[in-house]
Amino acid sequence: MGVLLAAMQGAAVIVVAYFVLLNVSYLATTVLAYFSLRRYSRRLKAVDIEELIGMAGAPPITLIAPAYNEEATCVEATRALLTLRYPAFDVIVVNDGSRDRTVEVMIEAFDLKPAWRVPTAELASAPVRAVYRSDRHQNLWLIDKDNGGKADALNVGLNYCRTPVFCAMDADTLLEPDALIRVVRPFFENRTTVAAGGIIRIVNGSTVRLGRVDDVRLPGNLLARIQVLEYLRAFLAGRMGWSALDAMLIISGAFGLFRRETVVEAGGFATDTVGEDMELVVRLHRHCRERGIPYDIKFVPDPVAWTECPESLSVLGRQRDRWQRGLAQSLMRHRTMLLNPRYGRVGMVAFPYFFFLEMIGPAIEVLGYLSFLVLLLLGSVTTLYAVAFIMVAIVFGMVISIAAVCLEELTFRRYRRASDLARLLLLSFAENFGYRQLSTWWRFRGLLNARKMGWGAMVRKGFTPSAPPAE
Amino acid sequence: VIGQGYENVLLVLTIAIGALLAMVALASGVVFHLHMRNERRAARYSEMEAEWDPLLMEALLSGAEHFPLSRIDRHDRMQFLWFLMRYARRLRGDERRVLEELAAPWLPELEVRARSRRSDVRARSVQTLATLGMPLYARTVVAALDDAEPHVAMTAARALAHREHAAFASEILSRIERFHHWHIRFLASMLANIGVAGAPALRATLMDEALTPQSRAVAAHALALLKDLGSGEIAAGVIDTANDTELLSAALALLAEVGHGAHLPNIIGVLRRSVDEPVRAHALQTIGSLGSARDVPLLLDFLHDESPWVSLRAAYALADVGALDELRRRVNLPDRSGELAREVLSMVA
Repeated sequence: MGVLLAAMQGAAVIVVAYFVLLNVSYLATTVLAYFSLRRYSRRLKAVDIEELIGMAGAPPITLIAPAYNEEATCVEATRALLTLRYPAFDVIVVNDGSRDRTVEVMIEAFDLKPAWRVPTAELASAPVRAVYRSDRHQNLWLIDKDNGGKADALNVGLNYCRTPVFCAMDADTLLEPDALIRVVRPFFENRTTVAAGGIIRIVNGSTVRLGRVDDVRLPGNLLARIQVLEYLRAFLAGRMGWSALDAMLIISGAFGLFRRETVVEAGGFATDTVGEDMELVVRLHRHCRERGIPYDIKFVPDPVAWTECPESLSVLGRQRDRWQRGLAQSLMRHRTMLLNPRYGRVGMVAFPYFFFLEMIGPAIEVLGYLSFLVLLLLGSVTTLYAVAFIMVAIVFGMVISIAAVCLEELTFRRYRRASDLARLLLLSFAENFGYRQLSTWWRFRGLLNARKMGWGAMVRKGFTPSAPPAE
Repeated sequence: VIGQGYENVLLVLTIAIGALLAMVALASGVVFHLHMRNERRAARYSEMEAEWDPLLMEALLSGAEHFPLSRIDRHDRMQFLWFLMRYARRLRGDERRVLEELAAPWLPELEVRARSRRSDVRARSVQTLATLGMPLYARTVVAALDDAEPHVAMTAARALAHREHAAFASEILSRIERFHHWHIRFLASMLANIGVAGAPALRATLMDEALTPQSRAVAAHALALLKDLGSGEIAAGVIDTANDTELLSAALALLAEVGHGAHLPNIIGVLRRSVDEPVRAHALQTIGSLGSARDVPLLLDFLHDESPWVSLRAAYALADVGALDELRRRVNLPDRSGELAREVLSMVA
């Protein structure tokens, strides 16, 4: 009994230390994000987006959209891509061996015809079956290939990419019309930029018309609504803060811009991980630092990509499990960077944060729940103490969440209804009861399954169309 | 650890909860305060703009004196200037002059703001002065080219890089090295906005060996955008002497636009001696633009180059010089030249 008590007390110390470190990190990135966002949005006032769109100097971009069983959304999403406001871009939709009618639907909708296109890189991939080009939109290509996973499809897109910059995205992602010209700005402003990511927002509940989100609302589904809050926290408070530190380790796979040459040199997307987006960014850091190549990886907060989030526990659980596996696989593969000064802030600050707090974190949280329970049962900790500690955890979490909502209101203001803001604030409290524990469990399960591959199915509802305009 | 300082830990936790709850209350209050302020501002701005829009239309048709400037509240003056700026970016000539007259009363204040401690205020003020206050405020705008904050300097450069301010081309070009972080083609596009009046200064930059190759490459790309025929000989000279990949590529791209057959020996010389993939690819593209049937054997050699970009450019160059039969002959070959032939022929069809 004494050993158990000592072990649990030791565990409690680890949990408390983890809790303090985690929240201090969140607070620090939020404060950094505040200053960074304020500076960014002020600078934005002197930027004329129309002038940028009209410039001859914008680098041509290839949008690579892997599609797997996307017949419900691929046409609308592709149509939205074709109407993007950018001087020169190609769209390559890569059908990754879909088992539904993705290819047929695309051929029909865009008048695609078999075509020839010679690859300019040789990244390994599953065989390509056919290449199509649209008769109606000369910049639209469809590459039909055997199934090999998202990373494999992206590599095929990269092999066929002819532009200096490419955009990796999901086929069901809706980019805002000026998202490309906004996200490409770091490539204008700094020649050493190798990657830039935009913000991902949740489309559930909002209405979509002709491939554009025209009325932004909070989703009706509670799970989706909580995810809105999570995304605000992750992007506005998290990534913005890490970007300010020049130590961003993740660019979302749903919307990221990369320098083609650097990615090909680094070996393209890794096909043996489920977190190919994070793995690539970590590898780019490593590739550039080990070779002494000056580089920059940035988060840009105003270009928006809208994505559909899971609305059921089972699908959400699979998604979070996969994200955690991707995180663990990426970090373990590059563990040599951990606390290694050779990698600068990335190795000394960002990597340890993600390694100890994000990767191992769920295990520590589970340990925390268990140890508190045991200590309570053994009478080593009073109920009052346990309640006080839990309250600190909850209220600290609320502070971070509300700060993220505050950053949103301070800058981009996508949720214009006061009722939506009130709901978000309430959710910052409510998410602590059940959702947070479930999320910890899914992530813990992902950590345990870190060696496993496989994505799990994502159920797509398709976008909510807006009502037809009144006659 | 937990047992010994129990009381103290509990006290710390209680204080932490109190402090954090206060932060929650404060942050929630800030969210709603911001929301209400933003909504009020948005409503006020749309009200003002709804009032100003028809007045401005009238002024654009009948002259600045028809706009009742006295109705602009002192507190709304900056908003009024930003409102004018939205139109200024689209208007030229007499209509632009109407906007300049309307803005004139508030520009002295903007000149003061151009010295603000906040870089974003400086940038916006400089941009507005360059658009609505030239040539009166030229000194302030040109001085901003030396601003310690690079984005203010770039804002000034971009605001000055227009046909109507061509007289300042040399001011921008003399500071081009300040902008070495910026993308070469972005800078080139900016300088090309100055128009043909900027060409002499650009040619001088391209020739100046004391400058960095990047700056000279910017000038070459800008001259290519302007299709400046007078720079062909300079570009031919550059490719004979330069070693830098970016400068060579830019000079070759310039020759593709303004060169002629007499430059082919220089271009072929670069193609043969360079080991840089982008240089060779650009050289082939330029041969495609300037070459003839005489160059077909050379282009065929590069169809089998190990660089995919070089072989691709060679294939397109063959089409450009009219050697479609050579490509047709290769259509059924199982190697890369066959693939290239199929692609090029399908694209030119």
